[in-house]
Amino acid sequence: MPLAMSGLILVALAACAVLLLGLFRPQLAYPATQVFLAAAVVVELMTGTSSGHWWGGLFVQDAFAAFIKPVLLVVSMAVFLYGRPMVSRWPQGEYYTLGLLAVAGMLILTSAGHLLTLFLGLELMSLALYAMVALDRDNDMASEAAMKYFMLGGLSSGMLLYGFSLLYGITGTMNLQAMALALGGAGAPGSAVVVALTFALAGTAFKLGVAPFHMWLPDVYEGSPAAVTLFVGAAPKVAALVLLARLVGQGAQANLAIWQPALMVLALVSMAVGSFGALWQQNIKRLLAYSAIAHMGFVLLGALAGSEAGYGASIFYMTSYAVMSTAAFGVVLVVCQMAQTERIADYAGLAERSPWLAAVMMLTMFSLAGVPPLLGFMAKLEVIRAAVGAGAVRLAVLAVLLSVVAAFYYLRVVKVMYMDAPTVALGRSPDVTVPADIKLVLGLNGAMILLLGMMPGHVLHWCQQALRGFLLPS
Amino acid sequence: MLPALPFYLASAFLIGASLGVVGSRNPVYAALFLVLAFVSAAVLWLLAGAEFLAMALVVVYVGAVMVLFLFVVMMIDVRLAVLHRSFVRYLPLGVLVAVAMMVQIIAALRGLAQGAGHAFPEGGNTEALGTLIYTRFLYPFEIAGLILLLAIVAAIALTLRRREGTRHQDPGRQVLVRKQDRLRLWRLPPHQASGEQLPASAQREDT
Amino acid sequence: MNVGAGHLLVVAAVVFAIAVAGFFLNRRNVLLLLMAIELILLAVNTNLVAFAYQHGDLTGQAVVFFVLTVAAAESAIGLAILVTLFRNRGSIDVEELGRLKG
Repeated sequence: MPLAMSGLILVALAACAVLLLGLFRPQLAYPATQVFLAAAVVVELMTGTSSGHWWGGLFVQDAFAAFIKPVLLVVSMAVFLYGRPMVSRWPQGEYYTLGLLAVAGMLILTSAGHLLTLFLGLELMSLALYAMVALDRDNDMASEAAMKYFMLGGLSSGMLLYGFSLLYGITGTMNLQAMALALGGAGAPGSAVVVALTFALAGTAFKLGVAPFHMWLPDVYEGSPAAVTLFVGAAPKVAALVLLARLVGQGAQANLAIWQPALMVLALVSMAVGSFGALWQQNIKRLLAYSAIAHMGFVLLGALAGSEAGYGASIFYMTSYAVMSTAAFGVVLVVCQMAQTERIADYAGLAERSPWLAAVMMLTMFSLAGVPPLLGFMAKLEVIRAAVGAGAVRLAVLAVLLSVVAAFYYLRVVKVMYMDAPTVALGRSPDVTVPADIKLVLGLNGAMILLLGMMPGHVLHWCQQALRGFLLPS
Repeated sequence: MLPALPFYLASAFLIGASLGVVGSRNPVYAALFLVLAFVSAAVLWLLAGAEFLAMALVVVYVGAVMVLFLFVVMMIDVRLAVLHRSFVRYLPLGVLVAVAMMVQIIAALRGLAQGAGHAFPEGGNTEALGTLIYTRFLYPFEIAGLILLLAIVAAIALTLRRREGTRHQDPGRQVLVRKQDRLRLWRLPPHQASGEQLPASAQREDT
Repeated sequence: MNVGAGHLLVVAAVVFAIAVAGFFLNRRNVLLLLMAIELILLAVNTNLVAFAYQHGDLTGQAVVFFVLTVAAAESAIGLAILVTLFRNRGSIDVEELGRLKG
């Protein structure tokens, strides 16, 4: 058995252990989850370098997986930390078990060099997420959001799988490397490849939440309890990008001519829908949902180049987005606890009430908008550079223009926090003490946005390094 | 080469049943049409040499999953929905799009699988598949185990409600009971000749 | 006329198209959407069986085995969510899923 699998096994064992703990000592479920995840990070860092292919590509460890897996684990740890006060009323063992199984699914997906494990990892993650959204059982909105998420998620899995079955039929293999070779060969029938890749891309776009396959996203973000929205919006996005990179980047790398135009259209529509759709939103979670759609468009800008540098830029963008989105939802969660509100108008006066919270939120909003010294700016710069390198100059110009539009609504949040007089919700809310660890990590999270933005060199280098050897030499 | 008559018969049933699932007004009928679709598909799979899967489809799907569906259909208050106006309005458009998609797919797939298929090597399909799943596909098999665990946990967490005030036996507690819990010994005053009743305090108290 | 794997693919494509159309046309209740998803997965599995027959390769059949497992887990979770929704709403009408503006 490959050594590199240890982290995954640890997470799967953790899920079982936490399930049992939840039965006998519910209050220990949370600390145990964090301890196991921290141990998994350490194990991944120690064993991640032992690369190779096992069982005909069912399990693959490469530099890419070695970079993504610790990121996924660390993001999940932060997500569990921010969500803890909100989920303390829910069945503890079940919540953390589902969360850990979702993480296990992402790890499986990240290490998949075969369509079967790609699919199984994705389903393990998605099924856990559907259940987590609905876990607050008496919450009317949450059940509706879970139902929508489940329906459209199920449909997208079906589409993806239909594409997979055709790819298997065309190439006679499910191993991604062998598939790349077969699809690049002369024998592959062109029209069938187009149909197969269309379905596979549509399914991936659903999972990624890219317009025009984004219908589920605003409703799920708004309807889910904020702690779960945070979960759905951070690590699974990274996993969806991994799906795209493995499937399209590795499996269909020879068919650039087919999927590059499709990705360009998806990127453009997504950035436009995300930027304009958010302008009129009153609910902060809905605003962040449209912001997610727009950001996924930017992620595609890097991926459409189809080169290792392009995917490196995409991964860097996605990692930065995960950091920013975690910080944003962290603040949203604290405000939720403080004032029981998700309306943007109710954020008025946050700067007086809690200056550090408002400062973290301001930093995050500026970064999401792409204001220069911050992380979001560097990420945008990299993907736009990749897109220009791929010859999509007009698309890059449009991307810059659309990010100016998007800056309006991020700045609106900052203006409300700093300029407007407090409304009833925040003004009269009782004092809620924010746990010290949440304060600390939220502060660190904000500091990361600032510091990594000013000195992105190391992370960027890691991202580029992680993609070395990702594609077959052409 | 597949035998033609059973193939066309099963295909006709499969397509008809699919239309029935999509078009039924009553969810119970739809569920039963789905059962018919699964059984017809099982026949097709049998023709194509997937014996074990055909059986698994009937046993697992028709036997378990569809029963679950029917159970939920019966549990939930099903209103025989009147066809909504939007359904009728969009029906022609929907049919058009579906037919267009179908034609496109079929046109693209032409030439993908031509000629006779390969016969599988001799020696039962079940054995060959089992060998494959328990050796090369052991890792996915374990993942499938995780997915089933997830389904169990999620389904129970979402639907199980402990009701207050129900009366039921708890065998564990019954077994664990000790003598002290049930039995109390009383020292009774000596019997009196006058034949009086026992004092109230000396009644046996057991629970 | 000879019947081969190609014919199976055509049948699967027809079922797939019917199911996808049914998914989008359905304005009645969520259960029928769940059934449409089951039909889509049935079409996928039929495809895989056909290709396994075509290539003489059991991998396709093994994958069907896993897809069946996942589909069963999926319908269990879907039905559980449906039951919670029904308890909260007293209805599973698709048109009443409008509290979140779509």
